[in-house]
Amino acid sequence: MRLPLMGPPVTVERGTFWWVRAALAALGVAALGYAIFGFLANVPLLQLIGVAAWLAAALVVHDGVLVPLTTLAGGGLSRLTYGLRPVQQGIVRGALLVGAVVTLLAAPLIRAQQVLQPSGPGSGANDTVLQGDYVQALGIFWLVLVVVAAGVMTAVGLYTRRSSVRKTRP
Amino acid sequence: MDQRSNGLFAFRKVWRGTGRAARWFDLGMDRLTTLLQQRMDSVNGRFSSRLRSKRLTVVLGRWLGMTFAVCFLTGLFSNLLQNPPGWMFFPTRPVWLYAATQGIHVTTGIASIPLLAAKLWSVFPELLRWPPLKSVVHGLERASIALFVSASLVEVTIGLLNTFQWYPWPFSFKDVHYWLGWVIIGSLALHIAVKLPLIRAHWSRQSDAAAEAAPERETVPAAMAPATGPGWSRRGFLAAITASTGVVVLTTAGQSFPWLAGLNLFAPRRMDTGPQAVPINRTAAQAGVEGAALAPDWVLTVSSGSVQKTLTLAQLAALPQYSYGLPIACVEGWSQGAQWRGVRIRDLMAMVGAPADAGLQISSMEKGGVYGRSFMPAAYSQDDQTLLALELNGAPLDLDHGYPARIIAPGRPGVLQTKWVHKVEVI
Repeated sequence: MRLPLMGPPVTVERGTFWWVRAALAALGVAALGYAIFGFLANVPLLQLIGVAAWLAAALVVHDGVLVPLTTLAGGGLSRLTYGLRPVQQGIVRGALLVGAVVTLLAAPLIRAQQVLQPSGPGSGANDTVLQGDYVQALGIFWLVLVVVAAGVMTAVGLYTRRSSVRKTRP
Repeated sequence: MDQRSNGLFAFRKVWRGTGRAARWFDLGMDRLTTLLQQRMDSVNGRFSSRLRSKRLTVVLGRWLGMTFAVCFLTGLFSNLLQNPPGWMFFPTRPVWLYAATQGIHVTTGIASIPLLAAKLWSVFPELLRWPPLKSVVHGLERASIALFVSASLVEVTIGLLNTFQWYPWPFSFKDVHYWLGWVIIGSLALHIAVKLPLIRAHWSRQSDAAAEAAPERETVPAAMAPATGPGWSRRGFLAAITASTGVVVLTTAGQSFPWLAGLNLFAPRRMDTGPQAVPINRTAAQAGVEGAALAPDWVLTVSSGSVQKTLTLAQLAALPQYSYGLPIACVEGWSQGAQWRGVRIRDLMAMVGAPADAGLQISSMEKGGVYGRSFMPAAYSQDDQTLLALELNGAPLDLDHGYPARIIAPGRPGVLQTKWVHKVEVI
């Protein structure tokens, strides 16, 4: 049985393509070996365990929580936006995707501020780091995003209705 | 179905017992695997999206491959500047070189977060493929992908949190970030080698169409069916990912690039802030040098072999002063242009009769750690613009900027621009 992941079979004669693949694979394995050597030679055992735990946790959180959440959100959206034109559905999804990515990035920023500046902005050891009001920035960002997306959707709705009206005229 | 039972057989073989319980065990495994298979199929169905396709994965992979390569190269450059091997060449011009490469490193790292999420989403059904292991090679490939994925996720996460100066993990950031970089670049090369036929087949829209039209259809689960039909199109999805990437870049790159400072909403650093309009990485209080730095009997010691000179602040200020506009650029990606004024390092070296090609060891009043001491190769010590700065933006250095005297050299990482200097030794 051929592995579906491996793609179509490579020609038996060793052409340029074969050599490119082989060279890339060899380089990759060499770099991985160097990395493993680097970890073992430079990072103490206790820290290595910490790294392994973080690597495992990253997989669990990403594959077990984040992706299922996007699937749930996608399913919910299909129901909520049922009846909208495809372009409008695309705008809703696009705007939410942008908002979600920005929130994903801003959330640790806000959390870091809470942890490192427990008694409010500027209460940390160094007040030139994490000096913005990121909660407010995120709120403003979402507001602008919603307004822009709603505006574009309305414009698209009006435009397509008008053009479809025009088309139906003899 | 044939292929699947083949796979099941191989999978079961691995678990086959040899004792008396073997038959019972086999029966149990049979039921379990059938059940699991049904479950996985149904889960896979739930995760299916018409949007996912090999073409989408190839397009996203191309972008992500580029950002990872840029991150790796700029990161390597930064590491070489900080831990130079014997052959290292130290570029001092343009003076903003390190500010640019490190700004690009951090900004590209941030850009890779949405790209990584999208790329992983596009291949998510691969994770749920059943049976999970078909052969030793297949197992190795899956393990290498798991390592690649988890290393990438951890790398961008700790990189981002490091720019906040937040370290909620039980390991050294510097070592782990560096060596994970090697894990990722190695895994990337290996991954491209394995997938190259697929990448080639779906590289362009024409080749993608040809590959999709080809009669030999593999056992592609419903979840991997090509994107067609109504709704969220591939182009729409790619446009949204591009927009997300653009937005996170535009709203954070202002900490590194002045022309984007106006859009800086979500970066941990702001330009033109802090004492004398320059941000700080480490305050005098954090370094524990307030007493020593403000002591009226502070002197600078310059030594070369047996020759040693001490200079008070007034004596330093009486030496020829030079003023240059140089950026201070941190490994965390932020940078800030400023006007520095002070004594040329090479003038100090000449005072003690040091040879021109000598390197220097600079000691701070801060004890220990990476900030306590720095080594300055001749490429910097002989440069016109390398100063022992006494003034910043037209006023004496603020205590947090290294009063009474600090190093500023063109194109060096901020961690090596030693503050609160008290000793310069020619070695």
